[in-house]
Amino acid sequence: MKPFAFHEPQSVAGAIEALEAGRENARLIAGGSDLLGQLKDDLVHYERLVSLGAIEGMREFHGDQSGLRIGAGATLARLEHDPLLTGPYSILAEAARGIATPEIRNQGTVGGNLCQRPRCLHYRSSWISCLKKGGADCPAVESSHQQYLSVFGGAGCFSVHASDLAPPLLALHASAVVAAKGGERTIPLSEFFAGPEQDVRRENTLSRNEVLTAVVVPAAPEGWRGAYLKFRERNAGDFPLVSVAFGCSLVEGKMQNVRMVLGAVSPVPRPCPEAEAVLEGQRPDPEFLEAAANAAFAPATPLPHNGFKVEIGRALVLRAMSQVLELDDH
Amino acid sequence: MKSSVKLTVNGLEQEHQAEPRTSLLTFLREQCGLTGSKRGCEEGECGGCSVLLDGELVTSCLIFAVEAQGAQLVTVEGLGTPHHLSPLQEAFATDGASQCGFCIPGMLLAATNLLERNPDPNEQDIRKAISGNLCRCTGYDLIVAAISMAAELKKGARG
Ligand code: FES
Ligand code: FES
Repeated sequence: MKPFAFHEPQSVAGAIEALEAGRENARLIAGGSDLLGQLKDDLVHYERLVSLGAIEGMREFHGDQSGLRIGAGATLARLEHDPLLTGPYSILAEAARGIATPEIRNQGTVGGNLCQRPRCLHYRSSWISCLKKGGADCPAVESSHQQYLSVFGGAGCFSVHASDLAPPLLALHASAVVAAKGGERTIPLSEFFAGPEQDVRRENTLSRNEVLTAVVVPAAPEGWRGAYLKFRERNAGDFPLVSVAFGCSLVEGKMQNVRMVLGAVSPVPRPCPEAEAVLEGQRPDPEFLEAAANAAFAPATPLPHNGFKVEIGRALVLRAMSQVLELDDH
Repeated sequence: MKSSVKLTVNGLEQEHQAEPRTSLLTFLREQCGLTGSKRGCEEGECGGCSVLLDGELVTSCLIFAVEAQGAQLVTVEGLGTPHHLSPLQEAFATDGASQCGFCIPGMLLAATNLLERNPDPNEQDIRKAISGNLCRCTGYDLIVAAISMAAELKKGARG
């Protein structure tokens, strides 16, 4: 790891200033559980790290009838246990409980989870050049290590977004609050993420001197319930191979406000409007559920060594729907 | 550039010079001379370096020492002494839960943290609490048994 200067501003404005002063060579650090790994492996190098750790306001955690506001600096452990995350919001606690390890959940933050870099083994190896690191091509498409790659295509780079919080937050129609020098903007989380077609070296639309300060979750529809399921190699510590956030409300026996978002199968978390449309307004009969699971994965174009993710994904979607609708799993 | 990092480890104040890139783990082992916390994976996966930082279980390999400025730390050296083992250490020793011993400091801190929050954990709670700690000797069953034995011992002591 190369040396760097460490800044610990007390305010978001201070962080933006410190970023600006550091130009291209400055980087924000929150919990650090992703960044330290990348620094140690010499994947990245910065002359200046700007810590968000001393900014008390970034750990805010509020909820009322209008929804939730969660500071980007809130830890994942806080999400696991906070009494605000019940009913429709319990999907967030469920997702947080499945992230990494108890240790990392005490360190990692909501903002860090949303801004984490891909787990593609090629990106993570300092001796392999790849598009994300400024290389000429993507070695992953030719490799047999494709478990952390997309099954829905990529624009040159096939790495997937590994966030476990993004799918449930997208299902809850959350927004990102982004601070910059001139003030603050709130954008739908769906516009926060951006795939390789925009810029292969990043996974979101934050510009260099912006700070993700909070996520805002609007009030959920009456009776809405969700589930987040994650399939991984080991039951602790691993990143998802496939994940799904599913939720809906049942009104007079019919599904409404159906939301389905897939994680870890595409360069950015993937909402499934086709699958939602199959279910919206229908009774939760097996034929519709099967059709929705199929619709979610119909556009899939897996690589030679990750077709298994499609099959697991379909099964996971069915399981998530059964869980929310309290049907017997089949 | 080095700066002074001051923190409290096991009740004793420690102040040493450290570069920003020095991890808390390196600071503890090389500057404080406390080698109980183990350097395993260096990337947050094994839990060998786990310590309590202001009461929270964290991996000291993924924290810079400068970030722990002013913090209260507990490492395995702070749990007991050879003549006065903590109830958990006692149970690990009696039960034969330690094989090579490399994972044990992290396991003990994860377990100490668990019993502080939940004095009467079931097996599931215990397995979850140590889910960030890998035992290369794969002796999980005896470790889980030792933690539940320690919970019993402590309950007995409380009477
Ligand atoms: S050395 Fe820190 S988790 Fe393995
Ligand atoms: S006792 Fe050897 S690693 Fe756990």
